[in-house]
Amino acid sequence: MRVLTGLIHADGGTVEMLGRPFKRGDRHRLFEVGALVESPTFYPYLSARANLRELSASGAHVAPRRIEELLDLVGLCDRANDKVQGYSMGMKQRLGIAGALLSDPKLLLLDEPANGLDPAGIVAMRDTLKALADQGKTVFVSSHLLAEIQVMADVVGIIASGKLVREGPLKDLLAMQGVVKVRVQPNRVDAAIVTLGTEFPAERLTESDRDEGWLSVRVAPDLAEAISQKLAAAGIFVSGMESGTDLEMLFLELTGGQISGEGNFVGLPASANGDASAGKGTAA
Amino acid sequence: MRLFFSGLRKLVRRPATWTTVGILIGLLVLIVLAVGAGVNGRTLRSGNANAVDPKLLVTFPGAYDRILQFTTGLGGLFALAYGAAIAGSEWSWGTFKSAVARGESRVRYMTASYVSIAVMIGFGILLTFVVGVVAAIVGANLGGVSTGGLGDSATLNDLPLRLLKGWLAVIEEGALGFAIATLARSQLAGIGAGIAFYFGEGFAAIFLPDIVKYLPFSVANASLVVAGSNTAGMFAGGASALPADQAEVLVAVWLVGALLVALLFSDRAEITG
Repeated sequence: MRVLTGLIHADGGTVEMLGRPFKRGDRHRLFEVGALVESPTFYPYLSARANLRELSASGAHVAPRRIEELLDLVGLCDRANDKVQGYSMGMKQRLGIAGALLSDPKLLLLDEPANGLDPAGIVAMRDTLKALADQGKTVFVSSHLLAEIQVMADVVGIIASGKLVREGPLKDLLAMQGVVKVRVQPNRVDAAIVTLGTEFPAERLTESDRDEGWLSVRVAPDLAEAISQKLAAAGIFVSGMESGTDLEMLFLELTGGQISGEGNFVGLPASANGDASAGKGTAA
Repeated sequence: MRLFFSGLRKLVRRPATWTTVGILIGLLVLIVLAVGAGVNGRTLRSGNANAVDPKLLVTFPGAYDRILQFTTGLGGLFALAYGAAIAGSEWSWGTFKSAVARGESRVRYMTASYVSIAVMIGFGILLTFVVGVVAAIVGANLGGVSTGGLGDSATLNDLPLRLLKGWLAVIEEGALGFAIATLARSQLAGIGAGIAFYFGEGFAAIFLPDIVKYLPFSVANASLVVAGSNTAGMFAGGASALPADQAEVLVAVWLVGALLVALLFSDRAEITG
């Protein structure tokens, strides 16, 4: 995203933006782009309105009324004259999105746009981005919140250790990654696994560690009924069932379960249970 | 022009602007009034030819010179810190990044930012000088010193040019702070390194006067020396100081050089923060 916004320069390869090559020095093409890269940045001693006004002095020309429209869009009208230094993280994030939208861009680049937003704010942000996409704009979102991406994106690219490992329409990707979750009597889980093991490969069957009695079958969601029938025929009755597709599972499968190139999270020891040894859990 | 006026608006609303000029004015007024209150009934010193009589600070027309020297001398250090604070914050706060991501020219943005700083410094010098003159009049009255020289036409005619030269010297120091903070990409590092450079140059002047006289703070100070006036200060340089006309040229060289370094760095830098 930094390469796309001219902040850093690619040391190899080519960059294409809005269907055309984007080279060093093509800064005028960024007039068609709005970006929120990493955390939102503002003058802390200025108000939201003043910050947008001063930001609009750079890059493409912005009509003054656009600032008011955006303050209204992101729900900051009531606090528009307050200094940004008193804003919460969520308010800064909303102001950052307003800043990215200043020049009514054709392409919107957002890095973790849900950061710091409360649930209502996330829903509002999602609706706003969908509305912008419906207007014909391209909205490019980078996020670790895969559930959020799953309900928002049309096309997904999965990056692991700096490499694009899968890209395509979300529907197509998830069709390969369906899941059916069933709940049976906890003492019947093993029997259920054996029963379903005759139909599906063992690696597609997983007993939940967290929720007792739940097991996941990684198959297309439309096989839910067949699974229920199969279990019932074996005298194992399903007391709960969920089916769908899960981007998180796809991500873990494609990346081999590695969290990122930044280091692995070492889980707490199973016996920790809040005691002093819980301190052994570290994030590197 | 959009960027320039935006830069000015940002500086006008920035607390650091008023804190900087406020401290400079406060110090000047305090000193002038203290001198005025302290000189009551005394006569000018005559024993030591090198000593500067405090009474000169409230005695016109010489007071114009003294106030201007104070304004541009200490003001130079303040301008250094101010330039560093403004340039550094553009990197620390990420606001430069936002402008670049909007397709703004890096060079144009930083140039506009510096020009707006130079204009604000000019305003600060003028304001400090005017308040200083008013304080000197009050001080003269407190000290029972005549203000008869207040309207001295030769001094008054010379004042605009001297103020202009003073402004150039101060914005050169501001440009150094601006460049250092740009290289450091940080307000605090820029201010710290700039002030260290300022005092380092002053310290080095004791041992290497023939080299230091070409360095930025020394030339800024030398460019303000009026022939025949008794100047004192960290960078006065004594006999080794450059003549004012040569110093003025070097002030311009340092100013342009510092700006070029800042602009070149801004243009080439990878903005990763």
